[in-house]
Amino acid sequence: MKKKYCYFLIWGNGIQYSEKIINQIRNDKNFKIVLIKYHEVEDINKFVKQIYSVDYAPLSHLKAKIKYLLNSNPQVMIIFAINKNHQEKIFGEGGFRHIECEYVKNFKENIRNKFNPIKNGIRTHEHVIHASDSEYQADYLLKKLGYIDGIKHLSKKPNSILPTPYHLKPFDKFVIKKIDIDSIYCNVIYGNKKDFALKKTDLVNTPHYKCLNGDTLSYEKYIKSFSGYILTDDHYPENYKLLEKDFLYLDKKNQLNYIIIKEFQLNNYLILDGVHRASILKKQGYKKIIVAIIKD
Amino acid sequence: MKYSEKINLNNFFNAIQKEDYVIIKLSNDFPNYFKGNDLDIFCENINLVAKKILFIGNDYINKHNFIVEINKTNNHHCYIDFIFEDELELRFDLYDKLPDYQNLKLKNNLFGTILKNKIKKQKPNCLIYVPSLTEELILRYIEFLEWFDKRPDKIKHLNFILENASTPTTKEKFLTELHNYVKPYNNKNEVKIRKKQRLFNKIIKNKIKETLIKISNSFKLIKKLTRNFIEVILEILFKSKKNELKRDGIKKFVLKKLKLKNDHN
Repeated sequence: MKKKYCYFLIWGNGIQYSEKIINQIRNDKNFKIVLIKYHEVEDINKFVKQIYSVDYAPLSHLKAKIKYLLNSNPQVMIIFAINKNHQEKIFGEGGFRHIECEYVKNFKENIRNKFNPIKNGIRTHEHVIHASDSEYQADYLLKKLGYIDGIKHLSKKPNSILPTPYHLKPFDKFVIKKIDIDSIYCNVIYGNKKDFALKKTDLVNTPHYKCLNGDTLSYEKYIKSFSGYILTDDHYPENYKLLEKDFLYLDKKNQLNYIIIKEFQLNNYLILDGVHRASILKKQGYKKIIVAIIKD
Repeated sequence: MKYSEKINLNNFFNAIQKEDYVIIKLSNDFPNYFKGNDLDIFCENINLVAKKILFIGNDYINKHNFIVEINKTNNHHCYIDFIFEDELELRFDLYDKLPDYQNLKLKNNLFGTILKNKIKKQKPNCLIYVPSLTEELILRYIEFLEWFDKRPDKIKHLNFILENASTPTTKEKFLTELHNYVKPYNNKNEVKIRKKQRLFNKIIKNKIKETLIKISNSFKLIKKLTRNFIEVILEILFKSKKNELKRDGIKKFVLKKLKLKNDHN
């Protein structure tokens, strides 16, 4: 099966269902969410034009179809995902003949059936969701959102030896050693979606650690508050609980999946990747853990 | 001097057994080593080999408090240091291309040939790969030439060559292959001159580019000034309203005014 990047864009009229829609994408084994981005649109007319400028149908044809969007909330939620079941097929006829992934198309229709407004008992064409037909469109939208490398941004490997998330800065020098777990801190976001600050916090005071000790609400609130804004990875409580269950750090399948940190003060470290795992290890009672420390 | 016993090299080389690699300039002591030694490894894929070294390294970090330092100096070289109590215990130097030598220029295909002609060597507890004798002799000769004036201990490579290229056939094969892969000596002055030439060319190119941009900007300015001048003259000539000319454009404006004049006449 071919793997390709795709995106789902929840329009302003569907934002209220975004959690449910994201859940549906997440629960589909063929999709792996890689980036969630909330976007406040300055000029909805211009944005809609940009989105449809790379569509198979000419904008003039779509004008009537997308009229409702011009009056909708000027905010969108975009979910970029790896589609593990890319099924390219030819759809449409004549001038509208185009290649599209059948799986994404059906998935999108399914969501529209569920969440599109219903008038007189009939599902309207006021779509709550738009999806990419091809990887090119995902690349195009990422670039429009400011990720100048497009889909290359999502497949970036900051280090060729260690498995690392794409959003870390590239690094070539690192040290692997065992350190005191209490010397590790992480950046926790305080404030709200628009006005926030990062604060170095010790593990026991993070929402992540608190969640493992029964305070699930703090964690849920934290994720909900910042997901799509400063938190663009797909974190959610259920997955965290699954991770915690039988978690074995650096087991055979994940021998090089070190928690990645950086020294910010002598013998004090900041987690760049692995707050969830570090919290679990703290809960499991580890005093010292093996980490990868990035060196400048 | 006593061998160090902190690291069991057999574990590491058993782990990379399936990789395409050779240990070059291998010491006869192997798998024994002295504290601070390094192992030079040529391999097809440094990332894969590095990963496997780290798999084994985890045990040393976890159980024996080793620190492992990894530094990828460029896309073709990476070293992995095993440090114990702040002192270097052992270094793995991994290359997937011939290193750059200062005193010699080598043809790139030597690296591939070394891997292609590698030979198995069975050690008591592990199987390792080393270069064929001819390529080993070439590498040691290069190493000797590179370092003999700074590191007297590199005489060991010359001794190795003298000991192992003892038969006329080996000697001939060694020399033929050596001449095949070694490019002539780099004349350092020549290199400097070439560098200067390149720099000079670059500067000239940039100067030309800058001048062309300046000329083009001047043309644009002249064009704009001329247009403004013509517009002012025309406005005075035809006593037109403000912005009328700008709105209509020169051609349309003149035609309109001439037509008006003709009609009037």
